[in-house]
Amino acid sequence: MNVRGRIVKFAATLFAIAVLSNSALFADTEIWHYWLSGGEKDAINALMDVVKQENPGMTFNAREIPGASTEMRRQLGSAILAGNPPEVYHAGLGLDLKSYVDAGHLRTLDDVWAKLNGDKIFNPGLQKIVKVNGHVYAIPMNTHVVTHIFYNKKIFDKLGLKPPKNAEEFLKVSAVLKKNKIEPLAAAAKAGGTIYHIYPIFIDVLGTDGYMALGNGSLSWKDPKVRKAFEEYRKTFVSQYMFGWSGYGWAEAANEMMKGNVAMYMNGDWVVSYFENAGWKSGVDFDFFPAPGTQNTIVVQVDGLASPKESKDEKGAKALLLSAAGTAGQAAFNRYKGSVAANLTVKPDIYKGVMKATYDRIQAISKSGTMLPNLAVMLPPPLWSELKTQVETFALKSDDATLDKALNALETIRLEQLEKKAFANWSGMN
Amino acid sequence: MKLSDERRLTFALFLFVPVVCFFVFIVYPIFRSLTLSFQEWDGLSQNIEFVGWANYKKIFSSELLWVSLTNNLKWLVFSLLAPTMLGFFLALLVDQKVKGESLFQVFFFIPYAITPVAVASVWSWLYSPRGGVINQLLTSIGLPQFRQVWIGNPDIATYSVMLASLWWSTGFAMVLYFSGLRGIPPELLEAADVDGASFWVKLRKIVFPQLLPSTIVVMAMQGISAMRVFDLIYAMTGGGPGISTHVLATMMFDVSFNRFEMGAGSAIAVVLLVISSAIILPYVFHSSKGLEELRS
Amino acid sequence: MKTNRFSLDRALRRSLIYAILVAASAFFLVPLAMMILTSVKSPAEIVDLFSFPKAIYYKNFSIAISQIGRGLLNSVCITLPAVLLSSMLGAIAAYPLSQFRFRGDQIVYMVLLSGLFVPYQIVMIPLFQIIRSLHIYDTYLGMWLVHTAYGVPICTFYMRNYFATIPRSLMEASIIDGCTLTGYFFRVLIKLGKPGFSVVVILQARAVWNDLLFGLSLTRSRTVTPVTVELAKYVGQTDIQYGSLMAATLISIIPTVLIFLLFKENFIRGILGGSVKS
Repeated sequence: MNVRGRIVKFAATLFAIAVLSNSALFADTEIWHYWLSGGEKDAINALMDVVKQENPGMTFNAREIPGASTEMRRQLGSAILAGNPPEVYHAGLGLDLKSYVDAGHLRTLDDVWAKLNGDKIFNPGLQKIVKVNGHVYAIPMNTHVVTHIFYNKKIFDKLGLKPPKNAEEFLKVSAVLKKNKIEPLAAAAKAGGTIYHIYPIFIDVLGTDGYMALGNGSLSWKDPKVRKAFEEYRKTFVSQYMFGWSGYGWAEAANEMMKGNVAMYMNGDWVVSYFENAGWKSGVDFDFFPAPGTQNTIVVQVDGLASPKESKDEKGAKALLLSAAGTAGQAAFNRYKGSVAANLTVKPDIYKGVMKATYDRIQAISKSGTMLPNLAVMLPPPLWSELKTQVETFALKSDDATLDKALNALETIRLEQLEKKAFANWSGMN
Repeated sequence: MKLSDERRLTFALFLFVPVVCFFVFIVYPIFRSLTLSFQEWDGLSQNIEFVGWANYKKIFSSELLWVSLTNNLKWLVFSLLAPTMLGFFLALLVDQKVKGESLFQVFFFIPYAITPVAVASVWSWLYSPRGGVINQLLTSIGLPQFRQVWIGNPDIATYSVMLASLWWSTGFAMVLYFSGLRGIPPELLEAADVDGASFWVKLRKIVFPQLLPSTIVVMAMQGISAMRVFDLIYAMTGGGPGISTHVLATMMFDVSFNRFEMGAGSAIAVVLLVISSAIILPYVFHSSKGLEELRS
Repeated sequence: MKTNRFSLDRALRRSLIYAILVAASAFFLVPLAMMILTSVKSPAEIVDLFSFPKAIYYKNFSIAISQIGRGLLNSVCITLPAVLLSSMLGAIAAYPLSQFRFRGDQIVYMVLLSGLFVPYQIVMIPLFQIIRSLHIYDTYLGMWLVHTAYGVPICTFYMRNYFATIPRSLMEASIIDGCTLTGYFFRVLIKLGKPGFSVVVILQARAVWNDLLFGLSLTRSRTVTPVTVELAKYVGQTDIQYGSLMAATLISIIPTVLIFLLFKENFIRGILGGSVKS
């Protein structure tokens, strides 16, 4: 009994400590994010430094939520129900944002926007996905491009290869690589290792209008052009995937390119900070080219910040967002993130090497090309989830039977979501 | 034994706290989920809509459900047979008065002490197509043609995860069977020796029946964990590649938190509950009866 | 003649047994050995899988501790009380169920036992709402209550089986000697039940310590989150640093391994149904 009593006392003390140390946290203005690895972590830290500098009277606390947007949504939902969400969170934009707005959970940020002169400093395309019903609900942080293909420059130079401009050239380059016992294209399972590969094909076969039609639910997945797109995907990319790609996560797949086993890697340009952190030099060890079919387009993925209405410190939230959207904050963040700042007033001298080239390309496309949003922000979550799964399934087993099943499944969900009026009418980004 | 009222009251009191806990934290949430399965909710908004059987119709017409169900069945068969037989086999060997039996026990049991997430991370790494231990080992002993994409190939991914699970759970069966073996009254075995019984006869006529209680325990635990399996699969493959490794538990998670269809997710959970009960309840019922006989 | 052949047979058999056991041990140990090996190597050395490091790379461990250190403390604070509470509660429930037949005893037992195969998914969302409304979300207390409640089925199961092996005659004798039912429980049964308790304590400790989903959905702050959730955070990161991940894994499994090693005897004895028969 003595031992038991001691244990109880011990536990009670710890419990008391835990409770007491818990309450101290609620004084800070909190931001939740999932910028966890390498360059991303540096980016959020740099951003918070700027925020703290610009708001000397306030205290801030940044909390990591591993598990990306899924886990963020789960924890955020729980916190909102519990009545203590963070002041700011790392938000998905487009339909994801809209779902929170429709549920009445977000603060409008019109006043912050006005202070920044938001309509001027942000690309009009980006503006579209942070506004719902004319009000601003999120601050865009960056512009990631997801339709660039990165390649191991040393391999290309050694074999005298030039970045391909279209599908035929791509296949020719791949043939040369294969002859030299190098695998052409890296892919990965989980977390978007294949989904972005089909975007350039959609754009090439369906045109930018067709891509947008898929996004707002007006194009049937059973349309013969869509079928053709999948077949092109099979012909151009899937056939060139490296051995065992489905057993890799995206970081391991990137490692394969760094080790020289694979020559090309297609993923969002967040991999740039990954490569650089691992010791590669921009433009020397690696570079990029627009995926075949996207000579005049880019698809962008944007990280945003939004503020739940139920959070306690509105003043702190808006102060944080103001700093995050400002030139200094955006510059600090994007310098490490490997993305181009959303705020157009940020000077391009923070971009080096590949990032500078990306910045130039984004500028060029904004002027005379088409910037498209990631399908992820346009499609209702069930359809987006299904698309990712089906593309991966098709890449694993690319016969016609699988394709039939995939297209049927996608179409079923599209019709279901249409009935629920879950699609939004995005009219493009510029 | 006759029960006086006072005694009845005492026992009722004894049962009170556990039963209340049970109802508040287990039964009530189940009913809430049941209700939710007939509704539609995205987890965020205030409006929850009643939709009748729509969720059930939806999930039963999806391929994902049938794949998950098949996988759960595979896991059931696997869990009931593989760790149990391997555990028994190893226990039998260690029981043969080998030197260092404590050591062997520890070796076999340690994996069971590790949380499934850790098992998943270690084995994912082992299974890595190019840099992983297994494929590298195969190459270095001259068998590169046997290299597989262990968790990337939809045809074998589930079995690869099962192997990791076998590594993890065999220790439990082994330790249990070992204690059971040591618990067999030596007189029985000596008497059999005197009668000139062979090893196999002893096994069948003495060991197996004596180990029945242990077997019941092991199989019950294994059956339960087969229906519930989540952590390992979720951390190793997330249900992929494609949808090949999904089980009901991971499917529920995916539908609820990736597709934000809480109602449909709850429906899947209900299906999971019904199937688990159907499989395990009769077994537990039967075994508790058996123990009644043993007791009196 | 028979003896000679016998001993050759026996020698062969014994070598075979040892060979198989050693091979099996390799299967079980090699992944762990790789884990330990990797945890002491620097990132550059990890690339060469089977190599030995030049020196122990302590940085992995310091990174690991900064990541999951608090989680370890939390796990201890959550596990100890939860295990004590649930084993007591299991014994309390098992007492009437094992010593008496009364109307509906089978039903009560079955109902309690049915909690064993409640998949977590079905209670996840409502449980969160209940915990929140009791204002114990993200607290140790919340975790204790939930783990205790979910431990009732398995603890009752084991303790009932264990108590069932204790002859009723013992209770009847004590009652004749003037002991109350409650007294018998607290003074006699619990002492006799120590081996059973050891089993239950170990199983529950393992279950609570290794729990992921409760921790994931019912806690938030660094000051409450158990080590499994912290570890899962680590694994879920996109570029996994294997060195520190393996170090973190190693650290997180040490407590449970220790408990098994310390209580091995009791664990085994408990499963044998206690040596009370004498």
